[in-house]
Amino acid sequence: MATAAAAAAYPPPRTSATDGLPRLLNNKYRLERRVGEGTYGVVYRATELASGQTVAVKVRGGAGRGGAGTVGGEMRPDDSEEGVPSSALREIALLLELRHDNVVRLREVTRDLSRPDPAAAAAAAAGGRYSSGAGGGGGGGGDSAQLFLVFDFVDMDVHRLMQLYPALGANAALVKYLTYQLLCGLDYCHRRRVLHRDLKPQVEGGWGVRNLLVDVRGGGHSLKIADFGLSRAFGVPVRLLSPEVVTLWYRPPELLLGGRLYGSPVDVWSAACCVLELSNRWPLFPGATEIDTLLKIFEKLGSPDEATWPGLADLPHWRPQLPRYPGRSWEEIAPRLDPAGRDLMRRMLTYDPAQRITAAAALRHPYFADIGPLLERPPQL
Amino acid sequence: GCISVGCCCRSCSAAAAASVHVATPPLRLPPAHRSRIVGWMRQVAEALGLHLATLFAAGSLLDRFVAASEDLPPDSMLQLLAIACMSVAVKYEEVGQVAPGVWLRLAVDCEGRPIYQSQDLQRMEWVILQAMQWRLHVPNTYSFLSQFLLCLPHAAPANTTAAAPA
Repeated sequence: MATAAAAAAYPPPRTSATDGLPRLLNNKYRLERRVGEGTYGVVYRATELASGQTVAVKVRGGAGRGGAGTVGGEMRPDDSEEGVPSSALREIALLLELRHDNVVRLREVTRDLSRPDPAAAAAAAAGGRYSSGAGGGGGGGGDSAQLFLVFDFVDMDVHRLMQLYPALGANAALVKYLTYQLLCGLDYCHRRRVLHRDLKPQVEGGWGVRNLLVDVRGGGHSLKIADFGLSRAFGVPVRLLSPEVVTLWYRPPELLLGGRLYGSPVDVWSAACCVLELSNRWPLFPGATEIDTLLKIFEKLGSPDEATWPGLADLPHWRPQLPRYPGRSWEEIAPRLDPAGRDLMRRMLTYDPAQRITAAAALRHPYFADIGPLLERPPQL
Repeated sequence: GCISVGCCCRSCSAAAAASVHVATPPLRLPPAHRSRIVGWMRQVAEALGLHLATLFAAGSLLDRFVAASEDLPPDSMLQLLAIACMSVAVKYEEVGQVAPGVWLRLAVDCEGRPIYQSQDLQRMEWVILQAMQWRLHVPNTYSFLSQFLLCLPHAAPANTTAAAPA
């Protein structure tokens, strides 16, 4: 039933064409329609001819200069002359190391083999393009520099599930089941030193690359973390990283305050925002700007101080004159969660990253004391 | 040089060992060459202010690439290989990126003209990534040792930039 509803509710493709891409990729996949578009690439629904299985093909990188390179007619931010973009390189390298039920599976990375090899294309293009002096880089190795990432296709995502089933948040068992899977996937990533850095249920304008997929086949609700376009490996101890990650509403306070020494706690904060959005059916901190988001956090959770968050004063954007809020009660913040669920959210939304609960510890929280039966018989809508 | 990876590499190079100059697998750069290349990579890392993690990731790529190769890369390719390893490592590890032009200006002939073009660098990067099957998320000397030191009691924080005295 859920599957039928999903098919019916799927938005029509913005264009039916495959934007100059081959309909048939390497005689192996048939590209069917565009199903999503993010900052770093366009996603197509496709069929693997040999098995008949539906897959998702994400197009990344490429010279972005005429022909199939300009996917959708727009230049992607990192489609420059620099070869394989940093974000694509990380996404592929990290996803290839991740094999887990709650992380989307990258099946294959390939190029369009009907086009010349980048080496051959580079040789053919040498000279002319280079001397054109565009940005001092030269040609991009031709359109064959495009990478095709082939994933298992998952037909549903958390955002669409919430749109289709407005009462989803009232289904305590399903919320718990999805939360548990999200934390399982996250714990797995963190154990392998991978930060996701962009967990969110939202898709901009309803047409983004979906980050929290839900496989509803077989009547289950199997959650898969997807879109590792902002992910990166992290070391111990943590070191300086870019603060410009994580979509605003899901960005933790240490990043909003300009912190650059961060680690896995950033994902835990985002995960809590996702869970409460699922439960409340409304984004938790829908700020318009960084400071607006920060003040929405302070208003709900109470303003932090040096006592609750040692080191706060050292963060670049912290100002003692920021408004002081007492915060609201957890019954108000998470009205549909039981006391154990509220306690887990309180721990996941702890200001001080060092005191914030880890994904591993969250899985052992009393909120999940009764998870066993749910795992055996996944809850239904 | 022709690059082969995976299981076929061992048997291929074993078969080749009898007839050509190839030593027992996996291949390694001659110590004197490796020392020069890695020393140069370290100077570059210092000049660009790169993180030690990046330098070691690049060194690991260099060694793993050579080990997966059928033949030692020709001398004329070694500098391009070193640059491409650095470039891939920077893309993987660093927050700030290094423009292709910066890499290309590191290799100049006696008249100061760049030896390689942007396409050469992209091609080499691609060959490395394919040969490594995109496996960049693997431990190296630096990442292992920093974890190990952290486990020791009273561990001092490791130096975090290549520019720091070592």
